[in-house]
Amino acid sequence: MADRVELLGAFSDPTRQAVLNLLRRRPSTVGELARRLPVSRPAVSQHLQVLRSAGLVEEERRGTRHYFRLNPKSLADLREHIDSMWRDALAVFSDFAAKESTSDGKPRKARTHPPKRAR
Amino acid sequence: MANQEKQEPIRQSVHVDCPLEDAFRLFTERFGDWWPAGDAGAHEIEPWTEGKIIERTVAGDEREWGTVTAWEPPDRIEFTWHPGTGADRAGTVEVEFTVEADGTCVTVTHSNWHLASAGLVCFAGAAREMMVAA
Repeated sequence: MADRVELLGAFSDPTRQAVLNLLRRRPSTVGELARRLPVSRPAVSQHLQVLRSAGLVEEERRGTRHYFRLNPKSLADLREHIDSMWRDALAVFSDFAAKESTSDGKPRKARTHPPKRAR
Repeated sequence: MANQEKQEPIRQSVHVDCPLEDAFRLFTERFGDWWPAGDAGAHEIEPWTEGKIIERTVAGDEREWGTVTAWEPPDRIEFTWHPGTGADRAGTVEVEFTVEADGTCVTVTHSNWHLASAGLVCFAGAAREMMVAA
């Protein structure tokens, strides 16, 4: 569990998000993506490979050009992922709350107004 | 592709072995202590309507993940949710706390989750990819 949890935190990669955002609009080649992003073509290729092996992006050949597009199945996959993300998060919370509630003493009133940040 | 249809909300619930008030307080006030984000940074839910959900990265950046739209202790909190993407792509998360035998039932309802798909696909998909590779 811990490994997965760490990974979930570690991989909110902004370039891959940008790639997916562009592909939401239309299928594109590596070159087209690289022109619209502040990264090199090899970097775009690398991100596409990660997205492709995760099943989120498909490659399609048109003549001599390779186009990448979102995998239409990715919405179902996404649902599954978010679903298990919440399942995991809630399981973590349940453990945390069971532990903290006993060591934490009596319930206090929740704060209901700004600001005063803890930490 | 541009017009994505409405998707069924995602729902998950869990039993928590503590009183309702504790569950609500721990979920919100101690969000940063339990939210499974690894080393990504510190997280906080500002505890009032229109409060922000904030991630402070190790590098010192502050990112907004969402905004509290309903703050109703100890029963319910609702917030917009767009980790890794802009507020224009926010989904909505409702968390309800109800008394049940020996504790509290916490239910999460995540609507319009597909709008944030770029950020969340990446978040979840890349993690899966890494798990497969590991």
